[in-house]
Amino acid sequence: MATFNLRRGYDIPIAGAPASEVSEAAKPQTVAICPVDFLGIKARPLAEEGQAVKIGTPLASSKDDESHVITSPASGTLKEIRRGHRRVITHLVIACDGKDTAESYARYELAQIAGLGREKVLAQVKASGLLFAFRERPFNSAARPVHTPRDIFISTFDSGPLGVDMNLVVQGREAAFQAGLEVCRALTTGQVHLGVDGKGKNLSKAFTDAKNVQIHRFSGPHPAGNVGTHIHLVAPVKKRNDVVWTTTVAGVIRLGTLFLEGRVDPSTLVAVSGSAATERKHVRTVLGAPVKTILGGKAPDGDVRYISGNVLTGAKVSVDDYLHYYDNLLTVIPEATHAEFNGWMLPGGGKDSWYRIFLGKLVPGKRFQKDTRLGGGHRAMVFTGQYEAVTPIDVLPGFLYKSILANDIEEMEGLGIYEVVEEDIALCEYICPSKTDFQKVLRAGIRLIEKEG
Amino acid sequence: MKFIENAFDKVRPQFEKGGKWEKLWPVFEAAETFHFVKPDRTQSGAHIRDHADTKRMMSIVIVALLPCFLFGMYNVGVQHFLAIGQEASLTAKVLFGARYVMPIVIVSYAVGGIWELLFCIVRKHEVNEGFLVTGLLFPLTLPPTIPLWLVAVGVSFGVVIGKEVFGGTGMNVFNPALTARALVFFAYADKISGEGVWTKLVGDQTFVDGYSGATPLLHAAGFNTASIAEQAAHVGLEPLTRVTDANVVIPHTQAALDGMSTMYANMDFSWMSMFIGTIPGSIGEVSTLACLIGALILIATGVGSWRIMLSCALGVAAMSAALHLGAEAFFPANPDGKQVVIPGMFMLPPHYHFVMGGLMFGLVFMTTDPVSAAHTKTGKWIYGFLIGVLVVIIRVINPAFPEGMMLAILFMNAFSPLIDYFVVQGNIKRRLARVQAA
Repeated sequence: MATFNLRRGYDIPIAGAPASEVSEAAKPQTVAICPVDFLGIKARPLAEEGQAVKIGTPLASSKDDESHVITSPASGTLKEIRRGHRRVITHLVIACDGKDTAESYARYELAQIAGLGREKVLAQVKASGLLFAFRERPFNSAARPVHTPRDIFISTFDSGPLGVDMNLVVQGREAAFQAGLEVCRALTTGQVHLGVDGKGKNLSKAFTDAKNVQIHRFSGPHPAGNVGTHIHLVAPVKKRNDVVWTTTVAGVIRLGTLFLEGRVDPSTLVAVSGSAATERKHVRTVLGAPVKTILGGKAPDGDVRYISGNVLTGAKVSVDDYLHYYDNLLTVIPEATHAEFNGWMLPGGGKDSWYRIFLGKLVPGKRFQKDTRLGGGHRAMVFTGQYEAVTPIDVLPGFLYKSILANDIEEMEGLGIYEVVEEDIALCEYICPSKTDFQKVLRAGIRLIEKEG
Repeated sequence: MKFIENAFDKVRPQFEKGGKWEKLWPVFEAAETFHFVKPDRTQSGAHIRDHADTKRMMSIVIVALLPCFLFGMYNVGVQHFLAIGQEASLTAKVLFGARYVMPIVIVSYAVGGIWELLFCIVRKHEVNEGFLVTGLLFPLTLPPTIPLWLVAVGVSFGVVIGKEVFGGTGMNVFNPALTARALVFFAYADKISGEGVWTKLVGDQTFVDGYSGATPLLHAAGFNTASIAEQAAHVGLEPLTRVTDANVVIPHTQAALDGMSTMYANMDFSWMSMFIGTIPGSIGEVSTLACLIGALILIATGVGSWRIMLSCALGVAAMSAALHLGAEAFFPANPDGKQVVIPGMFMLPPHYHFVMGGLMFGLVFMTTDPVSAAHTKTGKWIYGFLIGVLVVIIRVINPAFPEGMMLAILFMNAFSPLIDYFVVQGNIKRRLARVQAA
């Protein structure tokens, strides 16, 4: 139950925050689950194309464990098993029949969940496909059923650029949220930790008054809301087999609904943000919804980039693509199109920067339109202490980066590669004037460790 | 500026793969990105990026160097006309200075630039902007009488051996501008040190009486009993502070300084004059005030590390104060009873160290080079402090060099990786302690 005031970090003053009003999206014609979102899992299909499926029907399973299943988020038919590079399944596309027929599971009262015991709870979570609501640290892999997590961490606020308002996500679902917390408690041998916004106003009582969990308050600039920051400050990951599970507010609500109502609830709240989006809002839709459905049929003009997730860590998607499993944010920003004459020489009144080298810094509270411009050439990394200044955890990102380039596993371990994933060092990548590719290199370092042990 | 863009677009195919001048792509890219920030898009990782890039950071450093550069040019003119005993207008002084400083800067950029382009073409990467700063920094450390061929030799050494052989910008161990100066200093010492090099004369002009071509540091290095007596007498002061019981003579350096300030009819060596910078010296280092303005720009924009600057200043103050107060400890009594005289430099007060020689210039622009300095926050404090301590040791205790800033910085450049190593080990040990605290 601690309070943390974080000074290091940076809130990018990007324009395009989503409005608070919630609207209903149209029922989608197709939805898709992307097994590539589940890191460390090789998916093998269990269902065939053309097969009729209900919500909760297993579609595919992990190659290592057939009982670890990916289930359908909609009822209808399995339209397509789309494969990509090296025959890896990229999409499991379901054509929706709109009926929402679902598999049913055992139902319990809130008070009963705690007494069920780990095995029973894990079995139901696994069978419903909701084990994928959990990700593991180190490395942000999909949670493996053979691992018993030492703790479970949930962040209740998204401090990332143009992030979704979790208080809206949980509004009306407070009972399910508390039940979900009980499910998490049953799954771990340790504690369930809730990270709450220390400087937020009108926080949901579901967060601030949550029962049977450890509540910690974090205030400060992004990445104060990152679950990785919370883990480091409360109970850091110590080594490769010190496994901690993380999940989102939406995941917890879904777990709670599974045990209170005996069904998988695929509904979700997605924020549409970004300066290029024609309508910025929160939208109620379903897991795996198409980008077009979330946008609401009004496609933006001009050259834009659709991002499933936020501008720092999200994946580029096309307008015909689907929102990824763990994302509840669709960001739409303009692509860079024109060359700026003498751009780097001019005073830059309209430019934001973490550095104090453009006049735009002199206007406090101003929001800036950001496009996808790289803004410079790739150069060798130059240390001016900038990376540490936006990293609130005790990690030296520049040195970690270099140890990965050097393939020095001992040094990577010593410098904390078990403690960080892409979202924790994305800000370093954002502010780097040499345009260094931190996230790509970090993932390469993680892959090296996974391969070499 | 569409017509410039069109011009580049028209020529681009010749430099791209398969084009006639495909090998000269770095030249084209450098020219194009000099004029435009291209709309190249992010391909992986963060979709948006900060507007800061290396070009912007380097241009801030150039802006910070302008006061030293402009005053330096003016001062070359000032010293010239003082040396030949002529009156001159402000314009005449500036024009004279520009006439002889600009060729040095042009040669530095041109020759260094050619080496940079050559390495880029062979290594097939873009031209790095680090050279924009080195090209201006190196001339400012040279005397105005330096021959242009020597500027070319020096900058070639600095760019090639000081930077490129290590892998280019971002990989060098030593400060490239100082590496260049080190070559000139050790291989062609008579062109860059001594009394005659700091003032530009034309043709068969000579110094008039009442002008001294020696820098203040050269004067101070020569403070011995005879000169101190002379200088002190000049202002009517007693030359010696005291003789201790151990027969150690502690000089009255302040008296010498006061005397020196008015010794030469055409010169003003007072503290204020040295602070403003109308004294002989290397082109860019004379004015402490101009360096301070540059420091302010670098700190306000966050481009230069205030930690390194402050810790270096603290190191200078601490070491010179320690020598000043503890001079006696360095000079034990002579066993056969003869007098031991402490050299005048020992008693130089800290605030004189800052205005004399290239200390301030090095502190603001050379120590803060992020590549050759320590990379960690703690490391910067140690690195800067030790530079400050070292420069005073070399100036005061080492009899061979009146000025030690370049040597102190190059020495600590070699140690930055070691300092960082210990700080990184500290991070690793803390992590290990957390693991074991389970």
